[in-house]
Amino acid sequence: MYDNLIAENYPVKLIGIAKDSQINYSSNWTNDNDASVCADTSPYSTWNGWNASQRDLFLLDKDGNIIFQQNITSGLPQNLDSLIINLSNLSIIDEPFPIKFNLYNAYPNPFNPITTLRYDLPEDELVTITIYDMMGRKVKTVINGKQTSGHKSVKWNSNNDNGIPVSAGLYIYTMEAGKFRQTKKIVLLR
Amino acid sequence: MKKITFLFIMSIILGEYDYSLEDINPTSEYYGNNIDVSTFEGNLSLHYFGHFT
Repeated sequence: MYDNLIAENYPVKLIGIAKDSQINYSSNWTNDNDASVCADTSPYSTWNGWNASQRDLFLLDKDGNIIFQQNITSGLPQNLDSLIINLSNLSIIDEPFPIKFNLYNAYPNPFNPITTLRYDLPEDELVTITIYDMMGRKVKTVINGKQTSGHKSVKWNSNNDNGIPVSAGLYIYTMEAGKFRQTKKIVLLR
Repeated sequence: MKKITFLFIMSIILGEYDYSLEDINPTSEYYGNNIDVSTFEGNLSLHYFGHFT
């Protein structure tokens, strides 16, 4: 369900809100697709504020207004894909093709332990993204290879090239693609 | 105490359909950050009140 929407670039974000501090990721579909998962603890102001029951699903539009609510105790609505599209009058996002190389700010930043590095390639190019520490020592080669053009992203899990978690601190990431070169900073918290 | 009072007042001002909770899913791009409805402004958002242990 959610997979299909994301695959087709619908701007839908899934947030799971558990009424506890220990949500069971393995049995919860909110663990898919990098969904946000939040824990609402006593006095459960979010659950109470939304007047939510267990397994209630709320769909909010782009302005934060609730446009659909259903309890899905009996299973996920099979028609949720079309429902969302119809309710929101969405069309598939037709992102403009990148016209220049660009390296965006990492998000989240500061981060722990995973951050996402986004970049644009206006043409097919050999791309290298490398993480350095503040001493200029190479920590991790995140990407090194030929890539097709488009909007791109890659996650860094704060491990070095040997798979060992690096220590907290300030790091620099550099993207090189053809004659393009750009550097930005990220902060790892532990 | 002042912080709690401030948050309570803000929750009234902002309306009932909002919250500010930490994203605890390590694979989410918002992991470790407090998120609210405005975090996803410009996007549809599905809020699922799931199981609790």
